[in-house]
Formats: sequence, structure tokens, C-alpha cells
Amino acid sequence: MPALQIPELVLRPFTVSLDPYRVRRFEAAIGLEPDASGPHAAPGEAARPVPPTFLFGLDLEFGEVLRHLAEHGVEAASCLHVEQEFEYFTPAFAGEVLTFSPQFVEPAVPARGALRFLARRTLVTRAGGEQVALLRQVIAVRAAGGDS
Amino acid sequence: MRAPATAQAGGLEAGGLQAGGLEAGVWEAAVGEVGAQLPDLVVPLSGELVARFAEASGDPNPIHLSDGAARAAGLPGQIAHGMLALACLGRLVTACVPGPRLRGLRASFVAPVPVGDVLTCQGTVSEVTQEGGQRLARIRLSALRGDGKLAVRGQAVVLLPRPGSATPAFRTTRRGTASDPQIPKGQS
Repeated sequence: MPALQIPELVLRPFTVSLDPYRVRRFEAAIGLEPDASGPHAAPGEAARPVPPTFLFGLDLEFGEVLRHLAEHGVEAASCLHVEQEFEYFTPAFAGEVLTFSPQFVEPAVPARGALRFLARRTLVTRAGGEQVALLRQVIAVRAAGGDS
Repeated sequence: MRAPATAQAGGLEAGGLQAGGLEAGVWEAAVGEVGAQLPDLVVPLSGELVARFAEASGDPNPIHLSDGAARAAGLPGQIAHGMLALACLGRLVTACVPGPRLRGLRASFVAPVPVGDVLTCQGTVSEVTQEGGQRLARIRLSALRGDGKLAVRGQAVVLLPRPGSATPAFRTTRRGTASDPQIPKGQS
């Protein structure tokens, strides 16, 4: 298995439309009903943004994270998601077009035994540069042949 | 005391939590006080649900979909996505708080959850602070496996309304509160 040389790699930004069908499918998969708007807030605060963790899947899929890791010798099956964080600046809604700017950064945690760590940080913005959310994740990678 | 909202077998249709909008005063009371507990969300993680989540979230990692692949990777067997558990914790919070009020959500996935297990999601307000003119509540989150072991430890940060800002519009609801979940008033 090649050494993990991914840290500090800035990746090309990509733009994704928040397809309402995909949003709905995600909501259904986590048990949210279509028209349940949840608790109301102030006037002008729209009823329901996309679910809080929805953007993660877009980063994973359209950012081709698994393919990218595979190119660096890291198989999906040897990866475990160990930490995830979202910081929300403005709510995102189905139908919006958002830009994801991902990078792999130096993980805060050093390698431990057969485990090494990868950290990814993705800033999500809308046209004009308005910040929507910041996603941070830490992935543990088990060395090939490792038992733990 | 907790008020569990138990999901139906084979799905996530957790009755009460879905029922319409909560009044602003109600949701604020639910999370605006240290010690307040959100109603539990209990979710059976069937193989079908995990497969559906894999497709919906764009995460086809085989350790979630195949027992053989999971074992080959050194796991005891097929495990649910950590992000499925976090999605459930997010749902726990946004059942009580308007989505646009969520400022942060984070989680550490501390133990794997086998497919077929039942996850219990819990939230307790741990802190209410005033920061830069904003009133924020921090909700401590946990997702427990069927054996009681902590699987996911997390936190949500929620922006509370300013005191006295509950305008009449704030108090309206779309469908009333008749079938809303019981909102715990905290442990006093």
C-alpha cells in the first residue's frame, strides 16, 4: 500500500444542483415526510432547508472521494468515517446551485498503530461567494492486512 | 423523563416527530433551557434502510452493504453508515428546532452499529450562551446501540430567538399542535 500523501491537497471546486428529487429521496431514506415542515420560525424563514447532513453526500459523490482515495491506494472498505462536523452559515434549499471547494488537510490526529487518518474540509458557497456551510471530516484508514 | 417516538418496523416513520410545525414558543422552550431533553428518536436500522441510505447519500462503501466485504475488511460484520446515525441525530434536532436555526452539527463515530440493530437518538441541552449578540443553545447528542453502548457522540448548536422577539407570526403554526410530540420541560 503506497504511503498516504493526500494531506494538504487542494482539489478542484465543483458545482452541484440540489436536485429536488435527490433531496426528497434523501429525506425519505431518513424518514422525513414530504410536507412536514417541522417547527416554524420567524416570518421569512422558509419552512425546511435540505436535511442538515445532506450536503455531505454531494461532497462524497460529486467530489468523487472514493475514486480519489482509490487512486492514492486507499480502498473504500479500509476506510472508516470517524468524525464529521458541519458549520452552517446560511440554509440551503432544494433547487439551489452550490459550489463545493474541497481539500485534504493535515489531520489533527497522528497515525496510530495500523490506523492512519485523513482529513477533508469542504467549503460550500452559492453564486456570489456567499458561504453556505463548512464540512469537515476525518477518515481512519486501516493499513492493508491490519486487524484492528 | 423522556418521550420516545418509536419508529415503525421496517422504516423510519416516527409518528409524533413529523407532525406539523411546532409553535415558536414551544420549540424555544424545548431547547432554550439547560437540561431540557429532546424527545428520543428510535430507529431500527434494517438492511433495506441501510441500502436505501447508501443510494440516497451516494455512499456505496461495501462495508455497509455486504457482510462478506465487511468481514474481509476486518469488521465483525456489515455496519450501518455513521452518517445515517448522524442524519437521525440531525432529524432529532430539526424535529424540535427550525432548520434555518441550526448553526452547527458534529459527531464522533465511536463504535460501529451493526445492520439490524436499533439506534436510540437522544439530545439534551447542555449550555445556553450569549455570544456576539446571539443566544445559542448547545445540544449534547448521543446515539446508542441496542446493547446500550454509545455509538455516536455529538453536538448541535442552535440559534435561539432574541428574548421578546416572539411576534404574532412566530406563534402561528401550519397544522396546529394537536399531534405534536410531548415536549419535555427539562429536568428540574
